[in-house]
Amino acid sequence: MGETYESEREVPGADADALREEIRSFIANWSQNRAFLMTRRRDGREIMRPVGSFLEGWTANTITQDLHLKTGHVRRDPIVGYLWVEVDGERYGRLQFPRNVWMQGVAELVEDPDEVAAFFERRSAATGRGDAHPADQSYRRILIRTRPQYVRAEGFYPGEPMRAVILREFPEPVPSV
Amino acid sequence: MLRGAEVYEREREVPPEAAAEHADAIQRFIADASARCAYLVTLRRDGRPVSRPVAAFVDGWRIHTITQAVHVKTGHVRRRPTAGYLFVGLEPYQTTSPAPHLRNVWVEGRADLIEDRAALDAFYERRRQVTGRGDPHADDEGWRPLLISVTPRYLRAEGFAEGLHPVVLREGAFGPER
Repeated sequence: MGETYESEREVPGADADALREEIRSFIANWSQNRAFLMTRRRDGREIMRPVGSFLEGWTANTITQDLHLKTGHVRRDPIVGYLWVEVDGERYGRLQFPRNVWMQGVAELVEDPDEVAAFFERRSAATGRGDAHPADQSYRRILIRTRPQYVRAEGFYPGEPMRAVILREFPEPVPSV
Repeated sequence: MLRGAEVYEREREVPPEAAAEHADAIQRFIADASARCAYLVTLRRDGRPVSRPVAAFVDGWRIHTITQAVHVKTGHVRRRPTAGYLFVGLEPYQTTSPAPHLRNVWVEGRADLIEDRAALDAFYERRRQVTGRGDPHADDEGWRPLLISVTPRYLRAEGFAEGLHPVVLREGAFGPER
């Protein structure tokens, strides 16, 4: 299978587990990376766009509005993916790419205004960023809340950064699809 | 104060005729491997997506990634001939919002898997002519290349039109298929 394949194969499970917290901290640090959210359009094809994200444990949160296309996408198909790409960090490997983490998960829409308000309070306490427009009642805030099923991280394995670190077990229960 | 409806308005896609004016700049951006990174999204056996960083050679609007039979992405494309690429700029640029943005382009399309040796040699020769990079694994005896070749059907780009407005190109906007 050759040396190229060997340099990119998945790391052993115990090594992946040892990197679990470092990977979680990386995706939780919103000042260090940019997040992209993948949803599925009406025809079933995937689309990705930049979003804001806020992590609670391994659960990823993104605020949207009922007007936005991605809200309808998640309502029809809860399978989503996040990609986090490091900004201004060191590059790794042959391609000299920034560190990156993919998370595939199952999303639910939180639409209850009290639950959304509680989310803003938790985010405000953690980051200083609450509701960006607290006085504006002209639009509906909706929270996309995603529990992970599969995480694939590159740039984290010491000495062999092109080898993928894959995590498949998470404490958060995944909503039934 | 920015209202919700204004947030929505400032993030709306630009009209088709304006989108067409950005097509060349978007094509040059995704073709310049020194200025962006590329991520390939394929579908696993259970239909769930997975993304990984890849090298991508962009020729016109067609996007190529070399793989091997042993890689999981090869099986994904064989089962479901569809794939997406996300291209992300390496240099942040400033907008009206406080956080730095990275230019980004999503491309979704039909994925062909090319296994024919003569077609692969032609690909390497074409890439060598354009980038100076032919087959870098020629001395790796275990190396068995295949080519994933994606023809775009849908594209969404940020950082090309003014502000946060995305540029969307749909089938028919990518010129005649070659």
